[in-house]
Amino acid sequence: MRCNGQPARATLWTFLLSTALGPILAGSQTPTVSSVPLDFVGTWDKIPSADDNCGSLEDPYGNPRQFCGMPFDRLEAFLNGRARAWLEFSDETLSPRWACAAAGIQTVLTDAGLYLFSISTRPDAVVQYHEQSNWVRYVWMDGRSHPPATDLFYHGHSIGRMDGDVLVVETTNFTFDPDGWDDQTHMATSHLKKLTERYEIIGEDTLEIEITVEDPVFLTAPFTYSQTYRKTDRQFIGSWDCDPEAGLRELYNTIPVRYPDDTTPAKYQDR
Amino acid sequence: MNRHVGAVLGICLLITTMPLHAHHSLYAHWLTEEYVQITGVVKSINIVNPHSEMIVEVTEESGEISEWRVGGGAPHLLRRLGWDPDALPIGTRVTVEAHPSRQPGVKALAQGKIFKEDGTVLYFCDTENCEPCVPDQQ
Repeated sequence: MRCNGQPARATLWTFLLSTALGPILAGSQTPTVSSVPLDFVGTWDKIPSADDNCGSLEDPYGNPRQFCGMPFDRLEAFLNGRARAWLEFSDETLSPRWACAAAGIQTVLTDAGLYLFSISTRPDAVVQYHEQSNWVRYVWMDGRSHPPATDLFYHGHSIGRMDGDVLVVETTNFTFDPDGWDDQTHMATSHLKKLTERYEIIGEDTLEIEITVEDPVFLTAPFTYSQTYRKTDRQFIGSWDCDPEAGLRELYNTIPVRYPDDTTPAKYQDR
Repeated sequence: MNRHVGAVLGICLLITTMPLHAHHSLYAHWLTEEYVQITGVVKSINIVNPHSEMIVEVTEESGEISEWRVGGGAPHLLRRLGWDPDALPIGTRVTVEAHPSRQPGVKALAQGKIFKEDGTVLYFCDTENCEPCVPDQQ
């Protein structure tokens, strides 16, 4: 039986299945009642951290980072040679954001001081609504496992469970993402990325998310950092209308031309 | 066309929680230490992601009319900073001061201060009052 978005009945049997046997039966599509505490539910606003900094890496054009919402200096120590080579190879045209692709998980959680996000629950999932890109993220809590490695998604596939008072979210099945870490210096992440987020209420209306990134393609070892959020009464602002043509016009009218045989810029340039 | 190009050293405000340009690096696309000033008439305003844009029709010294594209803040940030869509009707004559593109010869500017003839100033930017060079480092 699957919930299919319909409220499940919280019987003792389903409760036992979902809490005690859920992890054992992962992959068996066992129905569950989300046991996420209501403290997690609400709209969240990021609290700037003293740990956040710009690091020293530059973008492909030699410019320093402007948006520094995580400990980039610590991250740089985990980048392998391939990651550094990618930074030299990459350029702005590879950023899917210019054509309106929704920002990745790490970016939206880092940008949460600019764009709010909310957490709500339903019987089979924790639902995050991110103001940035109008992106709705589902963290499946019904005991399902990840899809096979043949199925990849730009935002990955997320499953969650409660570990005591901590909501643990594991995301895999990513596609390669040129902006996997951020969309300023364009640090990429790979199809082998595994993201583990641990959500914990650490004080009144205060949420901490500890994020561990495993990505053997680009990192020498798993990298862990934390971000803190405060529950807010601020309202979401309107919809997120995005026009790829506007984005590409700006892109191709501003970046230094790197490859003379790239014919795309001529379509958009204002001269 | 009243065009003035000046190099202005950016003033970095180190104590702020509002970073400059939410999505992409401003530095990679725009000469952030330079400003260009144009005067013309607002032809269109499109409040859209990834960044809003305004078209200003400028009469060049040759008499030719050209269109300048002024890139502005992302819609959510513009609204949070108080952008009033009714404050700048199409057809308003304005002077825009903003950063030029890194591509020479392109009629594109970014992060514009909009000066109306009645003396009011509007900020088509991601930051309060278009303050330049604002890293969000604490």
